[in-house]
Amino acid sequence: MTRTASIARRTLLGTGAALLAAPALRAQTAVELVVYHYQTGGAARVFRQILDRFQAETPGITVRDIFKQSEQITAEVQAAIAARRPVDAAQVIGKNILFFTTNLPAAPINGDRAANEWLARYLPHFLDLGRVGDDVFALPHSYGTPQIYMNLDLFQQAGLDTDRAPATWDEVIAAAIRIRERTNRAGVAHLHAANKDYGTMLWVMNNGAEYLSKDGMRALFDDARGIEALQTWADLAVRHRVMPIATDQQWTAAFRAGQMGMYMTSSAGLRASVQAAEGRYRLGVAKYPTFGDRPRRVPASGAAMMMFAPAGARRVATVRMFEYLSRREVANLWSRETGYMPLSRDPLADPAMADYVEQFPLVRSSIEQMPDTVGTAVWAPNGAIEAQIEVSNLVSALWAGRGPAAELVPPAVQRVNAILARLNPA
Amino acid sequence: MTSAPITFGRPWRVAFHIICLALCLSVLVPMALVVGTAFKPANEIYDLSPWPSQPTLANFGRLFGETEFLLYMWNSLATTFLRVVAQLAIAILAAYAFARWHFTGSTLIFALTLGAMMIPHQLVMIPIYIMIAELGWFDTWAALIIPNLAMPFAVFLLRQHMMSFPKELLDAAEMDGAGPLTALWRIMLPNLGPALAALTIVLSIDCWNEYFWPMLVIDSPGARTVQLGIREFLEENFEDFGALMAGVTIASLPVLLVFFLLQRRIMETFVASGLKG
Amino acid sequence: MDGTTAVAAARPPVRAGRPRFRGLVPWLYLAPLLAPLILFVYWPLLHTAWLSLVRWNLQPGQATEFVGLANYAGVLESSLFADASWNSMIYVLAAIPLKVLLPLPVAVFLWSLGRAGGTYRTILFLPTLISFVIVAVVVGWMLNPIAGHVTALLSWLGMGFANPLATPDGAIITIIVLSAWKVFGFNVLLYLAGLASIRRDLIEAMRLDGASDWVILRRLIWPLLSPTTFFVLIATVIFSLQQVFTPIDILTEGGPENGTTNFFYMVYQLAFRTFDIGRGAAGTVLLFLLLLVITLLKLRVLEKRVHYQQ
Repeated sequence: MTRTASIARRTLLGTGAALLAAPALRAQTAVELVVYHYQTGGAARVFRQILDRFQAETPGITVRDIFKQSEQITAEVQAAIAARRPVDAAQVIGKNILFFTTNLPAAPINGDRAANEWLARYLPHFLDLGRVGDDVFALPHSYGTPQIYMNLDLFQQAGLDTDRAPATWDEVIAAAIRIRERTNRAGVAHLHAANKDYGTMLWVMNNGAEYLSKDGMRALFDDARGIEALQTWADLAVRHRVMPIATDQQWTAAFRAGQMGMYMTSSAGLRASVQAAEGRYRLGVAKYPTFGDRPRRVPASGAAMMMFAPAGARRVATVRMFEYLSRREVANLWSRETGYMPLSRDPLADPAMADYVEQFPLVRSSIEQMPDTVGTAVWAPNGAIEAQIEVSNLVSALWAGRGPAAELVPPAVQRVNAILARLNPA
Repeated sequence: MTSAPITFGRPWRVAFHIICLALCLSVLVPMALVVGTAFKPANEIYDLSPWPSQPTLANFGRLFGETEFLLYMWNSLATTFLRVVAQLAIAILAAYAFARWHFTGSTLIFALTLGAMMIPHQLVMIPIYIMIAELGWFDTWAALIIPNLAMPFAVFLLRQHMMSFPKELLDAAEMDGAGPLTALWRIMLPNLGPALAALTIVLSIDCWNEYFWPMLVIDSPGARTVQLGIREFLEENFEDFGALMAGVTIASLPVLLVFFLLQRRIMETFVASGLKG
Repeated sequence: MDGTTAVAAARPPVRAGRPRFRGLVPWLYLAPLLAPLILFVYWPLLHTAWLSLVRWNLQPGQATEFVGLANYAGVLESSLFADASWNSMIYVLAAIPLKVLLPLPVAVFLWSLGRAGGTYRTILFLPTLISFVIVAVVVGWMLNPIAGHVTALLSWLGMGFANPLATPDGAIITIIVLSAWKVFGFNVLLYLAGLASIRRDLIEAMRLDGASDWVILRRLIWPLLSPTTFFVLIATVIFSLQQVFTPIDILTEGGPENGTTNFFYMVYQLAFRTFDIGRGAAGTVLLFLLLLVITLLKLRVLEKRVHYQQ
């Protein structure tokens, strides 16, 4: 269908008469789509570039992109819809998807049958995040995956093997202790995400525990695996003293400045890390560590695209744009320029991507990690902020060594569940 | 010169000097560190010495070349200018009405004006936010300027100054056929110089340094103010503290410059005006 | 209302009133003030009160559902309420010695220095001019436990990786000290304004009677300065409830373990992070009632002073 359209366009453009006809045709069917996103800097530029290419390919559709901070985008989209300003599509942080499908007029992407065909370009577990029954509400778009960033100069100074990255948490801890002892630098830190809770979710799920129930109404990480995972995090700060307590911002700054051995954070930061390391130290990147030989389970961080376009021409156009974004070459371009995962299946079948990985092997681990990705846990529609603050307080208490995880986690989980139950009456 | 009203004993004097010096150092040392870092090359950023051994302008180059900092400066300068001019114009007209005429309802209206002084911004933010949303004013200068037009404090201060002005002069002017507006413009305003200067500075600082409200209504980089820019900059360029401190230095410069140019007037007006309670 | 009577008593308004100015003319001068005053102060205040009684998520088409006082119960039940209230009190109580009492002797000292005190006065005033965003960003940078200057200094002294923001107590103390530092010079200036109005001949007279500095301070200056002190106290208390928003937002986001959150930050999170408009509005109304109590207290005392002086 799209192919015929683009062939038709080319023939039209070929003839002089059509050049006169084109504006008339355009005026008749012109649709302006409005897309909310939270991309900044280079990522914003590529995003715009991709939209421009889409516009060039589909005359009659233009796309206006509106930037909102990632923290605010939920509220802003809500406000825009409340004010009846057009919102056709928006990037929505993974864990808020349920909030949007419950509270706002989100439309399923696979409303027409054909969509299921191109949606198959994604691995099924990337689509699970936005699946309600048979409907898919969330187009996988800006998913990052956590990985180990290493300062290989510090590895070398500490007498560690720079060719073999730590693969398990035990190895990470051993390396971090060595770095602290030999170089007097901070060994390791693990992103936390302040009032959000992605870091906590990641620790828990990677050890085989569940973070939240499917409906987002109950926290589940007070089982043995969840407690063990969070105890390991606490140990980095309290027992091994390799992780100075700080904010994500401060850790990122310290790591990028070459003052810290390892930092576990999203692949989305790869570009900036490479830039920061240039001329200062050797940067290494490896897959996220596992707990012994347990399989790696990493929830994707980041955002999906959701559709709010009203039925009719705008919705048809939005679906067309989504289809464009799902193409392997487009998804790959987006990935190359941002560090997000190349979400369309078989990314390396695209020669441009294969070349790129060849030249820039640091991206390899994020691609290799794609099969280990699991859906982000999604919070119940109401009370997420208060619940997340409760989780964040738990993490602070663990870092401060107020008690073992076995003692602190269960009451915290109870508090979280009480909040969710109170604010989401059945 | 008058003699000192109180002459503390020597030990007290020494102790107070030490306290004041310590307080001044707590102001000057961080400032020196910030300004010094703004001129440091990348390899000196983490040195303890606050001052660069090889000063460079590279940080400013990256600040203006790689970020939209100039645009943020423009947004801040323009909105501050427009907002303060509008605030002053509105306050002058209202203060004149209160000072010149006693009319039915004037006491009530003046009470409502004073009452608004007791209502901080934060108490009315939700409905105004909804209003801005409905008007589609997010990411516009209007969102920064229009909800902040009424400044009861300025009305109060100007009314105090206007009431101390000899009314006979205004009456005389009106006898000569000048309308009240002409009297205000020709006779009253030229005598309000110091008060207007002080108010301009206070209102400008207020607007230039504002964070909470712009944070709620501005997102698009195109409409960002300097304060939002500094915060975003911190979040997007984590490790480039040279450029960040260059930005911090430039963002503070306008306010400091205006202060040093006009500081005698600010201090005098504060000391002389109704701030005593 | 009481405030106007106090002011009106002090300065009776001019009665110009030639007949042709009675009527519409004053209203033309007031209209540009009244329009924004009504639209952006009084109407939103009433609207907030209404919103605090309904459940509404800003959703289009959704009818606002009247829920009575349920939102107020929701605020009181919130997991943040206890910590936010406690911390708000700490912020206010800590403000009294640091922002109200300490600037007073410093102001008296600068006053005694005369013109020579000008340099101190100017330097101490600088933090008032610099935005709190910038102060917080710079402090966060200096306190980075891995790469900040304070850490570098400490590890040079043999202590590594100290981070005052990592513990609840350390974090709230840091924010309290910052907010005191920010407003100290301004309060010194307010006291200097009060001191400037004290007549020197009274001091000379007491000195001729053989009174010592201490006696002059206690018997003359302190009582004459008390209205200023009271003004500074009330302004600081009201200010301290709101001023710390920026450092909280930039440095701690209310943490660790709710150690730095306050009432206003909680309201902000409810209203603008979850868009729970009802609970956000209910929290705002509670905050308004608190400010109203403080303001009424201020007016009572001011009125007493006016009577006393007459």
